[in-house]
Amino acid sequence: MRFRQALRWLSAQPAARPLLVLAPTLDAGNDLLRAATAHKGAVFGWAMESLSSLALRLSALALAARGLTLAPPLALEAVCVRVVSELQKRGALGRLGPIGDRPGLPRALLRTFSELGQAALEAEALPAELVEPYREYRATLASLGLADRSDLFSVALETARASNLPPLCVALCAYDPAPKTRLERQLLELLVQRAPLSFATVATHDAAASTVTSTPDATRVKVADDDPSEPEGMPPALRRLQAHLFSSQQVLGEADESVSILSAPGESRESVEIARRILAEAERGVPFDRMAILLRSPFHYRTHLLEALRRAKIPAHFTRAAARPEPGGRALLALLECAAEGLSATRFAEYLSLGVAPDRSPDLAAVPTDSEPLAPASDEETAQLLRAGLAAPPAPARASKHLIVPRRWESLLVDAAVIGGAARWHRRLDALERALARQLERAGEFERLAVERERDQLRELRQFALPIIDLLAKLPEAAAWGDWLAALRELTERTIAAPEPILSALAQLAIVREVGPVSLKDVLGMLRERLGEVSARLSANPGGQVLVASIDEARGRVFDVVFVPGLAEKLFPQRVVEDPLLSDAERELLSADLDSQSRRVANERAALALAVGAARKRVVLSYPRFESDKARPRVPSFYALEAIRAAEGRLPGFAELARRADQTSQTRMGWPAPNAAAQAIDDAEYDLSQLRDLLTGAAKGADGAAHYLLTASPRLRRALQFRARRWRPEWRYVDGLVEPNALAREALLARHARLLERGFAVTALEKYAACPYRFYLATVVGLRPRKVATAIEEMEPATRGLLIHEFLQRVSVELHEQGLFSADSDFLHARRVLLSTVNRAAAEQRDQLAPAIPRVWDDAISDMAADLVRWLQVTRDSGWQPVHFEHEFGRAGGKASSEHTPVVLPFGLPLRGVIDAIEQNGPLLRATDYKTGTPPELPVVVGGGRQLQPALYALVLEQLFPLSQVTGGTAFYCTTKGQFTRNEVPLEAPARAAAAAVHGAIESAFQEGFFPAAPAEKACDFCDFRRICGPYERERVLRKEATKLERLLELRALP
Amino acid sequence: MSVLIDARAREIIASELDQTLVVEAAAGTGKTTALISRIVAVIRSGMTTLDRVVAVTFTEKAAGEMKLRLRAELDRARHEASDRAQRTHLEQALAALEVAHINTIHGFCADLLRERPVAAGIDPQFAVL
Repeated sequence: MRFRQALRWLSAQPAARPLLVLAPTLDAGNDLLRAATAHKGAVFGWAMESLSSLALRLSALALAARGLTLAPPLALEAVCVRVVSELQKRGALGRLGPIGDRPGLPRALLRTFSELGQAALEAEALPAELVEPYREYRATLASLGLADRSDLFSVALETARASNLPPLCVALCAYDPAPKTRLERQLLELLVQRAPLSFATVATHDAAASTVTSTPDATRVKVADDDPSEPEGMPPALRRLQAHLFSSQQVLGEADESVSILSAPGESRESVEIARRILAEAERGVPFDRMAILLRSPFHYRTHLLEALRRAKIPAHFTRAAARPEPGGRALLALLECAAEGLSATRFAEYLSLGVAPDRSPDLAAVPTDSEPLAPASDEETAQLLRAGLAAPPAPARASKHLIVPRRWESLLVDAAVIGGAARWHRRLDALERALARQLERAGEFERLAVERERDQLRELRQFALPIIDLLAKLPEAAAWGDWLAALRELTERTIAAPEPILSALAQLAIVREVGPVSLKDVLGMLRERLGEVSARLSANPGGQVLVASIDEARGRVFDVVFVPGLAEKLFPQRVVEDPLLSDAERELLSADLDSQSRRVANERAALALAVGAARKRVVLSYPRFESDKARPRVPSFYALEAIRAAEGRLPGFAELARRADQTSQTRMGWPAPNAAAQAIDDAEYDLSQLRDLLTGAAKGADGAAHYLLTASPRLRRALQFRARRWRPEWRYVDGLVEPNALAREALLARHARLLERGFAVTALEKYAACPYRFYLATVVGLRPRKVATAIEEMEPATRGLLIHEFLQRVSVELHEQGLFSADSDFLHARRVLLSTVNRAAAEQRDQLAPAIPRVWDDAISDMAADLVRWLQVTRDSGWQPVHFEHEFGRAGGKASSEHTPVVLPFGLPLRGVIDAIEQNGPLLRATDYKTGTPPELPVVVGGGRQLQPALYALVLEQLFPLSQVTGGTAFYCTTKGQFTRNEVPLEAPARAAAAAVHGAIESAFQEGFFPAAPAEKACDFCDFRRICGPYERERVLRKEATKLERLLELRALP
Repeated sequence: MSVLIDARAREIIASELDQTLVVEAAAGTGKTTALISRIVAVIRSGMTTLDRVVAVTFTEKAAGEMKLRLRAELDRARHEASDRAQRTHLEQALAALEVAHINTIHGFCADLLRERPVAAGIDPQFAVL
C-alpha cells in the first residue's frame, strides 16, 4: 500500500527537519500528515502542498508584481468569446469562419488553448487555423491583466528555479504525484532535482503519476511501487483486483465479499442500494468517514445520492465536483429558458419550484444601476480554479427573504392554461380571475370560502409573476454583451433571493461587454453549463461523514469501503473522442505532451484503478439497468467485466454478470423496497417491504405483523381502524354518518333546517340514491371534489356544459322571439339565426374565457353548433315549442338574489333550481332538461332515485303554473353523443309516488341520522369521494345487516 | 455428426475477410456471433486495428452488449492464439476497446461530427436531442 509506504518513510524522517509532502490533493495530504503525526508526535518545518497549491504559492507575488490576476473559468471563456468576435470582425478566423457564430466555438477553443498553454507551445507551431486565434487569446489575456493556468505554472517554475527557501530545497515526499501536463511535470522534476532527499509513491496504472520515474533525476528518487503481496489483512479478491486490473495476467481465485457488483433499475435506485450497503457496513462497525462513493460521472449521480443518503439519514460530505448545483443558477436559467421558449409557463413553474424567489419587500427589489468592474478572483475562486472546478464558488450570501411560494400557484398556472407570450399571460390570468368571479356569484356558502381563497392567491400570483414576465418580454432579441449583462443583473436581483453567487459569475463576463450583438440563444449557450454548475455551499467539516467525490478528488486517499457507481456503457468509461479543433494526427506532429486517444484511454483506465485502489477492505461496483431521464435500458460497461475478471481470474459472460449484479440488488422496478424489512433505508421502504411480506411472502396471513402501523401515526391509526371496523356486519359510526352522537345529531338537524329553508337542488337529491354517504358529504357537509388538472387538448367537460347551456338559452330566446320554433316557419332561416346567435355568443365567451388553444376552442364550438342545428330540427318536429328558458325557481329575486323562497311540492319537499326549458303544446306544458351525456338504455321514471329531474321539474311546473295543464317532464339528450333521444316522464301516479318516496327516504335519513356508505352498483366508479371510503365499499356493504337499508333498496328499485 | 445447411455460408463469413458480405438470417441464428467472430478474425490477422472497424447496431443496448461480447471473444482468442503476432494484435485491440466504434448509427454519426465540427460546419459543442 502506497499510503503505508509513504507513512513509513515519513515516520523515519527527523521530526525537526524541513520537509515537503507533495500530495495529489490537499485532503489526501492531510490524511497522510495526520497519520504521520499520530504515529510520530509533533513535527516542525514540515509543509504539505498539492502541485496546484504549490504553484499558486510560488507564483502569487510574482503574478501580483506583473499586475496579473488569475482568471476564473468563465472569464477565460469570455476572453475566447472576445477573441472570436475580434477575429470575425477582421475576417481572420480562416477555416473556423463558417462556425464563428456558433456559441460552442469559444468553449472548444478554450479547452484546446488550455492544453496548448500547459504543453508550453507557441502559436507559430500550431496548425494554420489556430495560429491567429491562439495569438489573439494570449494577447487579450495580457492586455486585460489576466493569467491562465499555464501562466501560473510558468511563473511558479521561474520562482522555483530562483529560490532556495522552503518548501524548495528540502526533503521531498511525493505521495502519488499526479502531474498531468508538461508544466506540472517540469515543476515536479524541478522539486525532485532540488531536493536533497526524495521519496515517491506511484500508482501502477496511473500513466501521469509514473512520469516521476522517468525524470532525469529518477535515480535519486526512492520510488515505492504497488506491492500487492504486502498489505496484511486485505481480502484476496480485492488484492487481485487492485493488482491485475487491465493487466494481461489472470490469477484464478475464489470470489469473496470484498469485491461485489450490483445493479438497480436506474441511477436513483442504484443510489438507494448504495445507501443500504453503507448502513450495513456501518452496522458492521465501519465508520462513515471510512467509506467513500467515488464518481466518474458526478452529474448523473449527485442528486440521486443526495436524496438516497438523506432518506437513509447517512451523514455525507459532497466535494465541490460532486456537490449539487446552487438553485439560484438553475432558477435564472429556467427564467431565460422561459423567455427563449416564448414565455413558457412550464419554465416559469420550474423557476417557482426551485424556491429561490425573493420576498417582494422594497429593499430587495432595488435594481443596481452602475455596471460593475471585472471582479478579481477571490481566494475561494482561486482554490476552485486550482481544483479544476467549473465555476466561481458562491460568495457569502446576504441575509435574504425567500418568498414562500404558495403551492396553489403552479396549479393556478395550469388552471389558467397559460402557454406563452406576455399578452397571453395577462389575458389568461385576467380570464381566470373573471371565471372565479363568475363562480363566486353562483357559489353556495361552502364553496364561497374556497373560491375567495383561490381568487386571493391568483391576485398574489399576478402581482408577483406579471412584472417578471414583462421583464422577460423586454429582453432584447440581440444585443451587445454589455446590454445583456445589465439585463441579466436586473433579472437576477429581482428574481433570486440570494443573488450574489450568480452576480459574481456574471461579473466575470464584464470583459466581453463590447462584444456583440448576440442572441438570447447565444447567451444561454454561454451560461447554461456555468450557471447550472455554480455549486451549493459545502459542509465545512467532512469528519464523520461518508465522502462523495469525483475519482480525481479522491486520488491518494484510502478508505475501508469504496463504492463505484455508474459502470455502464458511456458512463464509465466515458466516450473517448478526439478534440474537435486539433486532431490527434496534428497533435502527434506538435508535441508528445498533448493528449491523444491512447492517453485518454489510459486516463479512463487509471480512473477505475484509482477508485478501486482506494479501498482497503471492500469495493462495491454498480451500474444502473435503465437510463432514468431517457427511460432507455443500459448495459454494464466492459469495465465491470474487467473488474470481475481481475478479481476472480476468469472473465464472466455478459449474462452471468447481469445475473450476479441483479441478485445482489434488493429492489425491483415495481416495488421499491428490499426483500427484508430489516434492510430498509427509511420508513417508507420498511412499510412497503413489510406489506409485501404480508400480502405475498412468508408472513402472509400472520396476525399482528402490521400492528406497528398503528403506532406510526395517529391519523394512520384512525384511518386503519375505521377501515377495519367497516368490515364488521353491524352498522357502526365508522360506516359513514351512522349513530351520530348528540352534538352531531344537533348539527345535522340544524343543517337540515337550513336546507329546508333554502330548498334542495334536484341534482343533490340524486346523489342520495347513488350513495347516502356521498349525499351527506356533498350536500350536508359541503365537501368539494379535489381539483384535478385536465389536458387542454380538448375542452373541459364543465366548460362545454356551461357553454352549451348558454347557447341553448340565447338561441331559444332568439328563435322564440322570431317564431322560428314553429314547424311552419322557414327552417333554413331558423338555422341561420341559430348559427349567427351561436357565433355571437361564442365570441363573447371567447373574450371572457380567453381559450388556451384556439383550435381546441374552434373545434368544440363547431361541434356544438352542429348539435344545436340538429336540436332545432328535432324540437321543431316534436310539436312542442320552448316558451321559457333557463327558468329559475326558488329564489325571490332571480339569479342575483340571495333570498330563498323554495317551491314546496305537495308532499313537503322544498326545491330550488333552474329548468332549462318550459315547452308548450297548445294548452299543455312540460319541463325539459337538456342533457349532454348518454341516455339510459330504457325509459325511466326516477331511475332508482338517480334521475329525478324530469319528474321533480314537472311537479315544480305544476306549482309554478297552477292554471296550466302539465303533462310531465323530459330529459332531452340533445347532442350527437345522446343521439337526440328523450326520456319522457308523464306526470302521473307512478311519478308522483316515486317522487314522494324519494323525499320520504331522505327525510327519514335526516331524522334517524343514518347516511351510510352504501353505494349502488358502479356508483363508486365516478364518486369524487372514493378516497374517503376506499375501493371495497360494495363488498363490505354485502356483509352488513340488510334490514337497515330496506328503505334505500326500495328507493333504488323504483322504475 | 450433422452438418448445418448453411455451414458453407458460415465458413465464408469467418474466413473470407477480403470480401464484402451481406448476411441475411432469421433472429437467433447467430448473426451477432458471426459478426463478432469476423471482427476478431480481422483483428487477429492484422488486416486492421480495432479503431478502424465500425459496427453499427439498431439500439444502444445492443451496441453495449456487442462490446461486452467482443471483449470476451478478444480475450478468448488471445488465450488461444499460438502465433506471437496474432497475440500482439489481439492485445492491442483489448487495450483500445474504449475507442472501438460499436454504436448505433446515430451515435456513430454524432461521434464523427463531434470530432470534425469544422469540416461539417456545426457547433463543436452540439448536443443530440
